[in-house]
Amino acid sequence: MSGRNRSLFKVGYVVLLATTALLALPVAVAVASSPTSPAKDMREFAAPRSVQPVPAKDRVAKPLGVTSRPEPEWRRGIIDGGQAPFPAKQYLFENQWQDVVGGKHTNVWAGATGDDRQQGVIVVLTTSTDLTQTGSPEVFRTPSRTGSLHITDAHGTVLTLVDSTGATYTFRVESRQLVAG
Amino acid sequence: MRKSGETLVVSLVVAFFVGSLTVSSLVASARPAYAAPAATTSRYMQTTDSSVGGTLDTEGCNQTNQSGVIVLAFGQPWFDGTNYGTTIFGSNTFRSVTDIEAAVKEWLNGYWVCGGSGVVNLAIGTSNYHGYTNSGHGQAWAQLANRIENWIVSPPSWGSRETVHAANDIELDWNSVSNSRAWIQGFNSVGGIYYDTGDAAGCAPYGGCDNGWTEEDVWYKSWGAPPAYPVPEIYNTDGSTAQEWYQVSLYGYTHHSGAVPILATLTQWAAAGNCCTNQPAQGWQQMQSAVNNDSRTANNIPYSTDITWAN
Repeated sequence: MSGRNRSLFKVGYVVLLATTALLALPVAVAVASSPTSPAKDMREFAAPRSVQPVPAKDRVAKPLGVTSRPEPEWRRGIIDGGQAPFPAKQYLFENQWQDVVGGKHTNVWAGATGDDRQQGVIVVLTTSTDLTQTGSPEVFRTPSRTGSLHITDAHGTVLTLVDSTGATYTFRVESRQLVAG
Repeated sequence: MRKSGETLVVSLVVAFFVGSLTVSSLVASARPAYAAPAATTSRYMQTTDSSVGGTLDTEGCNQTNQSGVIVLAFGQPWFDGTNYGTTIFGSNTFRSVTDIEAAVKEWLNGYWVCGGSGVVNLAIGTSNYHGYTNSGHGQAWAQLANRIENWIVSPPSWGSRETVHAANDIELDWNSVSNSRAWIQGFNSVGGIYYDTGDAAGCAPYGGCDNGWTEEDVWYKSWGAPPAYPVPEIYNTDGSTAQEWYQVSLYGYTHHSGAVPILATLTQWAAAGNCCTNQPAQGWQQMQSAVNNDSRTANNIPYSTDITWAN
């Protein structure tokens, strides 16, 4: 090979290397920034999959190996605690009341809205006694932004509540009426 | 000779460029346009009925063809003086980890025996709501999940269709950083996986995270801690919850070894009475778009689940 050809080969080689580097750079960046961590099991991120249905002969239950206690009755009345099936960003509850009203489990939570802690709120949720049917959440806001509500007393299905300023409210569970005083 | 040499070099360079372009275009065309995965049904649990043909058995059976992440949320951590467990939703009564173990196993029995084609990652959920969010509860919860996973794979193994992990609805306004980290560290001392089904309330881009939490804390509870995998609640129809979690993912990229990948989205369309919050596909799409609009956080979110109040 002549000197001229060797030079051409060198130029070509350099062009090849540079091109490869240019092409490889985005890949390297992508790999470096890919959301993976060596400490994690990335199989968790595998796509959902299905399998062939289990043959009938293999559809046999396993013994549980543990025994659960009989389920206790639902609590009734005022309950100190605001756990509810709503995110904190929606509602922050102080406490709750529950009973069977009109043949349905009825949970009543008192507190404030998550995005405005000055806005008092009551939320009611009903569940059939077999737990299979649920109502939509019913939301009642205080007319003025005077802080979070707290249930202080219950007579039958009539609840007394107080807000952060000490103002009192009455909530009639059966009629879903919230009134000041 | 000189001409043939020149021709060879030029041919090599041209061939390389053409080849590169072809490969690039193939790679680009191979990138799939992702559609929202079918949403599974998760539940706020109001019962631990573990009887044959009872609530949990029936639910597992009814969901035997669902594939993906399913969370059974058993409520806030509790300790009755003898046993760890939870105060479940609805009845507000205590259930020990043994009660919950029996209930979850019966769900898995129903899922298996009904013989569908689904493959489930079932997560046994609690939360960081108030009092008993501590190291001891974290340990007990990890042991619970591990016992059930061992039961699944004991002969005859059901591992081809069933996997069990834990879940924790870690919400910033429900407890302090220190209590929540104590639970995580207790869990990690035993080992296993938990899905963080909580929030990033108030965090960037909307300001500072709520209740004294930092972005570092949110990164830790959802991904930084060895057992943690993020399954965030994406419920706001305005996309704000997705934006908060995009920022958590980006925080991982800018402050740690990589972006936080989102494992699944959790919506609460059914729990909210089919109203006023994201539907499952909508929540997934918001989160998917948020992370994939930025090459630094791009990842395909494989799972979607929607939580209901019905049992």
